Amino acid sequence: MARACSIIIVPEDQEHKNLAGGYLYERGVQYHVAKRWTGKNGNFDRVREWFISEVRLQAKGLRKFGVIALIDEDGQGPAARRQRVASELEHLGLPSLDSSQGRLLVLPVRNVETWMVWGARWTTAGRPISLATPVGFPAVDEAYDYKRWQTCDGQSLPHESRLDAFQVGRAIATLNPTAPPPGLPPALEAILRPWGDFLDWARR
Amino acid sequence: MLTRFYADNFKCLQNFTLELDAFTLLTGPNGSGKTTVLDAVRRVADLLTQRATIETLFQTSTLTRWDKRSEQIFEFDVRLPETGSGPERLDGGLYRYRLRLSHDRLKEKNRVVEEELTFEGRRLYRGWLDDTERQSTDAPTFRAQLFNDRGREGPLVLMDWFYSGIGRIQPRVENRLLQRFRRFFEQLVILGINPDSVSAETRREDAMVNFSGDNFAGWLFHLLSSEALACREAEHSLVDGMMPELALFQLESEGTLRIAKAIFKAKGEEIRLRLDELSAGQRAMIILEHALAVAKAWGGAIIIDEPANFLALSEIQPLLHRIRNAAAQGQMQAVITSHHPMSFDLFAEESGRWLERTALGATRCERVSALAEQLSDTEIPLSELVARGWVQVARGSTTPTTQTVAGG
Repeated sequence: MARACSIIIVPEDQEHKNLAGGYLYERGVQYHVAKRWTGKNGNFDRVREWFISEVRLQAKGLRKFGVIALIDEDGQGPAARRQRVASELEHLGLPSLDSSQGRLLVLPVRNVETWMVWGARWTTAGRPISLATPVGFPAVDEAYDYKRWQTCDGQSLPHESRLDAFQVGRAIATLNPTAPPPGLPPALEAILRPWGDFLDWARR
Repeated sequence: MLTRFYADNFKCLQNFTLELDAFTLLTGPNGSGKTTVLDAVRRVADLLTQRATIETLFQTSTLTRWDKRSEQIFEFDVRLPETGSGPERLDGGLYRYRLRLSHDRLKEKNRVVEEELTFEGRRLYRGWLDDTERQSTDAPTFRAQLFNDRGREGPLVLMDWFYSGIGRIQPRVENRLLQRFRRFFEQLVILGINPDSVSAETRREDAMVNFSGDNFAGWLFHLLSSEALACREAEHSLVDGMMPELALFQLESEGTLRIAKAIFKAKGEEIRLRLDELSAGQRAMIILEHALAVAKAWGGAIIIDEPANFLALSEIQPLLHRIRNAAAQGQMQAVITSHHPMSFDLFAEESGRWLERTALGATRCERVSALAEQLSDTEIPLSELVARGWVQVARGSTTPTTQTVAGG
């Protein structure tokens, strides 16, 4: 077979697909998108079901492949969303979420637009990566909804530019998980190491 | 119905067997040999129906590149139902056809060395290259033993080794079984439509449409007199589907020239467009609809290379379902090749054959159903695995499967 893919992206929508695509593109890894959204957006349940199907297939051991699911936290709490997936895997007797075994769940808080706004601010500030450098841009607030431009209590936020999700993914791929730059959204910082572990596993 | 096809030493087909159902989907990666299968069937059909000789159909370049042998073998099993009644009645049963060709690689010459047709185990025809008189005449002769429908020997005759003897036997009351076999191949429609090559004009009738559909106007000229009802059915299908404003599809005369035209009517206006003025998708659909209607009228078989090509997404599923349903109802046999994920998800599990080969290897073919079984407890459609490049026939395995490939 001329072209075979060993990383499958299960995204909630286009932005998630582009984010993961940018990351893998930057790391020089071929990927395949399992398109699951029906309109502009998918939802948590659809992504979760598909991800579990992929894990079931992975568990059959017919082929080595890794699967990355990307779902917005959407104010539900990252731990709750992760636990929902983890408990379902456990209930079905499937392998647990483990990035070092090719099963990665990426949960942008509050949504992927948070990371896109961070990307725009970080780029405008000159992409500082040194820990010694003071943060030269305002930090994003994970409680805010940068998709609808609202604060957590429903107040309107001023619109600002968002970096294209593909470019955000490329930027994330350049960050050092062991020494992340200042000003990263916590959920993004938390995913750097698992994502690196995932790629290490896929390349082994 | 064509139930089995075998080819040996033809391009990438080496000791290759394909078993066929009423509806069969051939699928597999690029270069796996799908179109070569169609090509081989088409060439043997052309030989059997006297459309060409083996000199043009089976040039030495058609031998498998890495195979040193100089013989090619083709076999068909064709099961046809009982037809007619009274003295016109013909039994249903299984035909077995075998054709053996030899090539002189240096002189790039070829000839038939053996041709045989049986029906339910009894011979209807046997032709062979006879070397016994070589010493006196300095050349072998091609002899053919004819048999009647009951399998009793008839005359022994001389034949030309550049032709199929079966194709050259005159129709007689005592060889109606052989005629029926030949008619099956005369009515076998094999298409790989290239809309750009389709001409709107013709000066003559063509009894069969060419593989690319380029002579469709000539075929239509023939069909309008011989299969008018089928043409009408094709027109209705076009109106029901892709071309709701089509009023008529016809041949218009300009002197000795006939021009295929579609006449559209909308809001009191009438527009006449030549076949070659229509879009590629419309041209493809017009040819497909006529081919399907005619294949059903004949109760024969149709083989189509990539029927979904050129068609809008909304046209594909209705077309595929109509092909499959007509085959399931016994109106015709259909064999299609397709890369389209829709055809794969709809039909591969029940009717799919996965073809595959390596660059310097022969084509291998397995049923897709075993693969579907592996995925039965997941939501992942078969086409997803194909799109990921995960489906391949394991070496030494009898089933297509997803193979472990190390690394990223």
